[in-house]
Amino acid sequence: MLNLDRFEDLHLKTPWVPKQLVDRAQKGVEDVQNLLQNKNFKLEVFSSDTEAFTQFLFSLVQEKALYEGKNQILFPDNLRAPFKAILREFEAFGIILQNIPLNENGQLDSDLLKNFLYPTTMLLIVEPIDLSTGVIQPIESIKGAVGENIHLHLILKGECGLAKGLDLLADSMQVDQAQFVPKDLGLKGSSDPDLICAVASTLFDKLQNSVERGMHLSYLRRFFERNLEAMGAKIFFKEQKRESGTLVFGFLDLHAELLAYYLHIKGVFVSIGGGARPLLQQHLTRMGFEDYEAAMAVHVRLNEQIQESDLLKVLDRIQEILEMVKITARRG
Amino acid sequence: MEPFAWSRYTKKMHDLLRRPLSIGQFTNTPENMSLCSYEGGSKDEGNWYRLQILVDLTDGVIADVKYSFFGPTVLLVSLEAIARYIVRKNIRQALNVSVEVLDRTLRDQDAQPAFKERHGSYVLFALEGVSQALQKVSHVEVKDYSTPLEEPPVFTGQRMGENWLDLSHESRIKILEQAFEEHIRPFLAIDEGGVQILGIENHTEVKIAYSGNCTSCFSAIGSTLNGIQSLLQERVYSALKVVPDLDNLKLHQDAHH
Repeated sequence: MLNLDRFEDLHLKTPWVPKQLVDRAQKGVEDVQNLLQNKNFKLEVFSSDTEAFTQFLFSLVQEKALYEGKNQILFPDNLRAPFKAILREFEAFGIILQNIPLNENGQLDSDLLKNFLYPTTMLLIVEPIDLSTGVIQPIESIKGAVGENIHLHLILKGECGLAKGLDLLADSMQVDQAQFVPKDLGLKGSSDPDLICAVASTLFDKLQNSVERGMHLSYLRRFFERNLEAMGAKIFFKEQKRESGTLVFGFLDLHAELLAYYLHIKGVFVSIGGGARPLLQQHLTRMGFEDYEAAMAVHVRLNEQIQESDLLKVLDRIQEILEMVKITARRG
Repeated sequence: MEPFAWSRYTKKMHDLLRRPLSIGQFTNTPENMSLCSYEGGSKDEGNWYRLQILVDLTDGVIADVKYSFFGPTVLLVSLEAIARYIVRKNIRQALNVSVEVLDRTLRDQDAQPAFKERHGSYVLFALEGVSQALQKVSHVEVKDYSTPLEEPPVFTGQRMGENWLDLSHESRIKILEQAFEEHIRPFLAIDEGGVQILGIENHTEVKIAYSGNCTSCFSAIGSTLNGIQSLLQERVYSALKVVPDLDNLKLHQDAHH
């Protein structure tokens, strides 16, 4: 069990971010403080999440590699491309990178993780929510697997914005891409991984169980998924603990790119990955899904402005698409 | 596969995607017809299709085409373009359809290919289905002499030889060669035929000589000739006339492609 008493100082550092954004971020910090029962903490703001990540890595590598002789960094498959690109820069300095596959539940399996841990392992980097699938990583069991000697770093950007009380913070994060980082990031790296774990767990808890907006999104998703299933869709990760507004689905015999095309021209945005995120098809295949299943999967993100009536319109459009490509609705 | 590859599709490709006419399957085969089928690719690889071609056994003409598929938009575009193009063509013409010919039919602008380089493999993959499926009717005698040339679209852009009468002979020949290369020869190649420019007389009379199967095809002095002339008038200069060299034609009553 994580100990929330161990929250420490995070501080707000804004070298050149516009004042209005600083103000918004500070307001966000106040909200976070309230959310976390006024535990004392500080938040550091960087010009971009990748800059923050780079700074963090520099300080950690300096400490772990130079002084402790460690040289291995682990990360699961769902780490986004910009972060992977930064990590690769460190290979030139003798850092060994190890990619860990997610299991078919879309999670980093803590038993599997243990196979990748060596005395030379310095760091495990985890994105607590897989932005492609919505699946929430089992942070506490991951933390348990890595133990005290390996640094666990969580990239929280994005997830924070969905928790109640963090709206302003989320806004500022979207604009200037600031993110939670440990208090002494600039020089030494985080001294307390539990702190980061606790923040993540608290936010996830708020997101899944307490936040009004999260509940609304969860309801909408259930409504949407039930109707999709009735039309013959396969819902991916249905049994997993997922971020409220995200779902992945597909139809037998309808390729994801084609479904995405038809939905786009009908004004409905779905994604098949790519860019910073991995292609969804490749992502699912690496988790162990059949190629055929992976090739039909599209990602959808619901937002709080969506109502049931909007989803019914989307379902009508999907039905039109199925009829156009002559796919008979069938149970997956 | 590139995400959102469709952002660079031509308008004609989008039209095919938005109104696919040939998805489905035949449930029975009419009398005097042969149903030629081919199934290619793999659903696991995300590029599977089943192509069905209905061939009229009395004249070797393709009556209709249907397909089922699992794949990205470019596969649908390829199959739909093939289906639309080969219907009412004879089986020999269908076998000679090339990526270039399909590309020509899908361009919005003459100079810009419709298919990007990475699409080529999908188009070839779909064309493979045509050749495999039609093997079943390779013995059927073709009795149709229709031209493979398409009706020229109403062309609103500037003609290639707008100031034709002011141009030098060399410039005129160069423009004609370009027009033949882009709009005529790829399509005659479907009939395993060809055409050369012999010269220009009286400023506007383009003398041509057919080669290959065109020399024994009646449409060489009929619909194909009219098609070439219409294309040149539409694309190059409106007063052009096309005069074939009759000496190299071998037209006999029983001739066929």
